[in-house]
Amino acid sequence: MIFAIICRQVNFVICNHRPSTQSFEMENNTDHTDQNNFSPLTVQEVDIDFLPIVYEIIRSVERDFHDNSAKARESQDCSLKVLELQKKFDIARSQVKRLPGIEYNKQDQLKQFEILRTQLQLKRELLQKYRNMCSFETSFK
Amino acid sequence: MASHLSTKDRLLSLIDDMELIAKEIIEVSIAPKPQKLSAADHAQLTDLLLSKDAELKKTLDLADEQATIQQKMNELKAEVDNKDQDIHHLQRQLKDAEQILATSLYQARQKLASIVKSRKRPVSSEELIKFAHRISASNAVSAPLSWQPGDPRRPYPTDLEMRLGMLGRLCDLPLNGHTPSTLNELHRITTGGVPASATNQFTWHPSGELHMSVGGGNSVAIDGRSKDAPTQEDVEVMSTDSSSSSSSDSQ
Repeated sequence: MIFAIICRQVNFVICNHRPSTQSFEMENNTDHTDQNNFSPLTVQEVDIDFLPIVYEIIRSVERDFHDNSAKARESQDCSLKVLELQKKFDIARSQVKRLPGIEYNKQDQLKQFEILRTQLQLKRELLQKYRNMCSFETSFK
Repeated sequence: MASHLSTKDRLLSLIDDMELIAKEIIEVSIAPKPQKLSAADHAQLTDLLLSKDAELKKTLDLADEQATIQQKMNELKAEVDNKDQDIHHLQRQLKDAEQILATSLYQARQKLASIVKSRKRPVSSEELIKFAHRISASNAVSAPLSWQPGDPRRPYPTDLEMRLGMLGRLCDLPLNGHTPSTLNELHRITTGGVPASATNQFTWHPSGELHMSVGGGNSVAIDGRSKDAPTQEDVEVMSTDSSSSSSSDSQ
């Protein structure tokens, strides 16, 4: 019975791999508001602790129960954990999209940084040139 | 991992990989015994999941570095925008200054040309003042303060002067079909062949009197206060024409 429930959950998760994001968001209002918020995040705020949940799911599956009621309870817990894992993956994706400065790889970003510095230097020189160019010829021929 | 991918794509790809591996592990775990993977394969999958997790954490560290660089870039961009505004402001000011200078230069050149012209043909200031005094003394530019109706002194040509002028002689033109084609010809006809340069009606004499040229090379001294009968008569005609306006001016 546990296997049947978990199989159903896993199939559901696999079949709704990407489009399921919206349905899970709708289930949790607090996460929903977080997802709609496009303010930039720091890396420390991104939750990527997937391994503990995976471990708990595997442990639940491999545990042997003699009592049927305990089996049913454990299967329910397991299915909830699968859902939680799926939600965690989706939240991690949305959080990664809100991280600043990762639209390019590091090399390209450094190139752009150099371009900006050069641009600023040129503009400073131009301003200096404009400020120093006011020397008028006063002699009349 | 391909280096041309952006860090965001790499992170999302790693999360996708981890999701797939985790699901694979769970599926394998719940599969019936005959379909279960061997322990080695299971361990391989687990290792793969762990390596992906480590790679994800490493890439997140890289993302942290890139966030710091991005912050510096934002500061640089703000400074660049600031400099842009300064440059635009300066360019506008320089443009205005250029326009003002161009106008001043044009006027200065005109004045320089006038100075050069005046140096080529110098006029004695004393003569100029005398001439100016004579012009104002003959009431050529404004009526005297004590002007009354019937007074011949006017700031405009009198009837006699008009008749003696070129316009007054137009009626004496020969009407034999010959019409003057040029201004010089017209001038020659009206002045009896005297060149235009020699026919200034008013000429300055050192004696201080203003003379008006008439036909035949004679010149008549003009005295604003003369009371000759024909002049008086002509003036009377003019004064009756203009008395209303003069009186209205004086009011």
